[in-house]
Amino acid sequence: MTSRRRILGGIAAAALLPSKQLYPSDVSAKIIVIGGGFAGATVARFLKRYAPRLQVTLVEPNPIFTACPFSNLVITGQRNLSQQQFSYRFLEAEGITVLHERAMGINTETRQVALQNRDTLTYDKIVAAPGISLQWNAIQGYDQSASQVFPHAWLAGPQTMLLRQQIMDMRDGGLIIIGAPPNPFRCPPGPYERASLVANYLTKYKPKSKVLILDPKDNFSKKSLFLDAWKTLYGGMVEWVGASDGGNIVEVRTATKTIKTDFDTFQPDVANIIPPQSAGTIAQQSGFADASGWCPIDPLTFESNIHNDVHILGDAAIANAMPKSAFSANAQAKVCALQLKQILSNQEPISTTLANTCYSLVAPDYGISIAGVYRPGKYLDPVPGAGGISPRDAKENTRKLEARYARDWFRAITSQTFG
Amino acid sequence: MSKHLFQFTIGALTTLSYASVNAGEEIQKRFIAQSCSGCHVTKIEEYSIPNLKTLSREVFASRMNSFKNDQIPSTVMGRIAKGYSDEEIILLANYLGKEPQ
Repeated sequence: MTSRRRILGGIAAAALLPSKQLYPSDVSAKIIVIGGGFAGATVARFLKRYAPRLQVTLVEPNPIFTACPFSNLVITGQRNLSQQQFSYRFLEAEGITVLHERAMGINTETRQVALQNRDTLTYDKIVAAPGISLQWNAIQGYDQSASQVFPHAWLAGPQTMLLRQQIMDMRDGGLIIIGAPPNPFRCPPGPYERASLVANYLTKYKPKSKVLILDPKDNFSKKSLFLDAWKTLYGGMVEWVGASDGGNIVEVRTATKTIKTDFDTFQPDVANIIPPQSAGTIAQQSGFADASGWCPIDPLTFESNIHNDVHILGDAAIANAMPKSAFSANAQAKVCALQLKQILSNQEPISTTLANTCYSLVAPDYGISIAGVYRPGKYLDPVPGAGGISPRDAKENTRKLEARYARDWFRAITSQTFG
Repeated sequence: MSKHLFQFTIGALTTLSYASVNAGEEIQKRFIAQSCSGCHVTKIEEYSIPNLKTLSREVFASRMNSFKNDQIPSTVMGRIAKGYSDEEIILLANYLGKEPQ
C-alpha cells in the first residue's frame, strides 16, 4: 500500500498524453456502496458521473434519508422533519441501482454482499459508508428501550421527534440534561449546538428552565465560542460540567428517571443521552473495524487497511483530525470516486488536499464555525497554520453572516448529495 | 491589467503551467477542487455563498492569496486559504474560475 502513497511526481511525463488517455471513459466494474448517507450517496453519484460505465449499486435500507445537520432546529420546533428528508430518486434517474435492503454481511474472500432478502451481490470494489452505531449499555442502563425514555436523537428521525415532544411538553422551570459522548463521535460540535438552540427555545417559552450538559470530556469543539455565547445570550441557563468536575454519566435508570454521575444523582424532566459510538454495525460484522471500533484506512485512497478492494468513507473511517461531519463525508466521497477511477484504470492515486467546514448555530441568527485543511500523511493530517474557529471577538454581523452561510451550506450539501 | 497580475503570480511557479493541455494538472486540479463544492455551488437561487464561476481565474487567485495573507476580511476563507500552497491556488483558479473569453 505504501507504494501507492507516492504522489504524482511525474507531471512532466504525463504532460504529453492527451487527457482522454488518462481518463478512459470505458472503465467498467461492479461497485457496491453500502449506506446512503452523505458519504455513500455522494460517492455513488460521483462514480457514475466520472465513470458512466461503472455499474453502481447503492444498498440502503431506508427509502428516505433523514439528515442530521440542522435537525437540532427540528428539536426546537423551528424546522419540520420533512425539511431534513430526501429520497434517492435523483440517484436512480442517473443510472444508480438503489436497493432498499439491509446488508447483513460482506465476504471479502468471495467479494459478495449478503442482503437481508437473501440475495447475494458480487462486487469488484466495495465502498462502505455505514455511518455510526450506538454503543448500547456502555452507560449502565442505557439500551435501546431506555432510548425511548431518554432519547439520543443522534440518528435523525423518530428520535428527533421524541426529544422535541418531550421538550415541548415540559413544564416551565424544568431541567433538561444533555449527556455528551466521549471522543470520537459524529458531529463534534453537535451536542453543544443542541444545548444552545434548546436554551434559545426555553428563553422564549419556558424561561425558568435549565439545560445541564454532563460531559465525559474536559474539552469540546469551539468550546470558548460556546461558553461565551451561553453567557451573553442565555445568562445562567446553560451549565456545562466537564469530566474533571464529575460530568461523566455512569448509569441511567428509566424507571425512576434518574441520571447518575461519579458524584451526583439527577432527576431531570428531560434527558437526552448521546451514548458512545462506533462504526456502523456492518463494518464491525465484516471485520473492517479495529479494536477502537472504527475503520482504519489508507488516507490517500480511503482503502481499508485490513481488506483489499474495500474503501471506507465518512463517520465510520478513522480520519483522525478530519472530523466526522457531513461536510467531511461528502468531500471524502468525491475524492474517493476520483481515486477509484484512477485505480480501476491502472493509474496511480493522486495525493490531494481536503477541507472541512462545520457551522453551528448558537441562536437562529448567530453562527460560529470551525474549519480545517487536511493532507494524506499518517492519517488525514491537518495542514499546519490553517483552520481554526471563528474569532471570539467577531462582530454581530459576522455571526449573522455565518448563520446565513450555515443555512446555505445545508442547501448546497443536500442538493449535491440528493437533489 | 488583471491578466498581467495573474501571469506575474504564475511566473513564480516552475512545475505548473497555465495551459490546460497539461494532463497531470488536469487531474490534479479536479481532485483538489472537490472540497470547495461542499459550499460553493452554482445552481441554487438566492444563495449567499459566492458562485466561483463568476470570477475570472485571475480574480480567484488574487482573492485566495488575499485571504491567505489576511489582506481582506472573511468568515472562514482566511482559515481555509492558509492550508493551500501557491501552486494549489493556481490549480484551484484554473479549475473553478471562469474560462478565459
